[in-house]
Amino acid sequence: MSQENVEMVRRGIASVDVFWAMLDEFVVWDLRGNPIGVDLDSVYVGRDAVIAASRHYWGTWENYSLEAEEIVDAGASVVIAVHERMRGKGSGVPLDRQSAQTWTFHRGRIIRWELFQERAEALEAAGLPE
Amino acid sequence: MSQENLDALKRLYADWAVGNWSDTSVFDPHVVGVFPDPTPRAHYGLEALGEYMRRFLESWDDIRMEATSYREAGDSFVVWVRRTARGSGSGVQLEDGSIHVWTFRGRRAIRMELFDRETEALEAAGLSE
Repeated sequence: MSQENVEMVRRGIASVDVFWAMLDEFVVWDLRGNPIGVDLDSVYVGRDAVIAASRHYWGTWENYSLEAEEIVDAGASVVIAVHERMRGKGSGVPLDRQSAQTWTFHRGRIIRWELFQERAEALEAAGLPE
Repeated sequence: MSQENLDALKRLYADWAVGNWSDTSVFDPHVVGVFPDPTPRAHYGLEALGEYMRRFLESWDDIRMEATSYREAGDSFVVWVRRTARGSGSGVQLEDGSIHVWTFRGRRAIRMELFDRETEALEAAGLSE
């Protein structure tokens, strides 16, 4: 099952539509560990709210790309070290940042999506302290 | 990890079996409780879950929830629960069973789902035949 989760992460990272389709009806998007700005709240609950908020976030940028530099199997959760590259819409200011996420799966759906500034924080949250 | 989480659940149900509802340490602050109402309805966050439980507990006197069996499913657990209570005011006796499915992220429960039917609970935990 956990290898399936890793494969789902690969597909979700490659396509935002695939990612959104993986979200559980009662998913929680928790940004407390890495407030990413652009007037987002710290927590979103429910698939529709998460899609709307993440659409807003990604719509802030142009030339946005997301790369998974490392994917770690943590049972129901998957820890992902991510590298974002983008440019501010209008301002044209480039931004390049690395951070980490956990996606927690249940019944083949993402029930918790959490953001962290550091890989170590994500690993610890998933129960895999370094 | 899963043994620690199972132990934490057993402690929780041991408390619930004697009517002690105060320990919330197993719950993530943003836990989601999904209860049949009659269709599944979600309660987001420990505060909302606590409010739901408070309203439920106020309807009954001397309510107990005793875990009769546990089954592990990855980072999830299925718990068979026997519930006994007496209606607040009415005195009506309640005795029924339900199935709770818990999902953990690390050491905290991030989802608790309640089912009346075993087949649905097992399917939710990925244990359906």
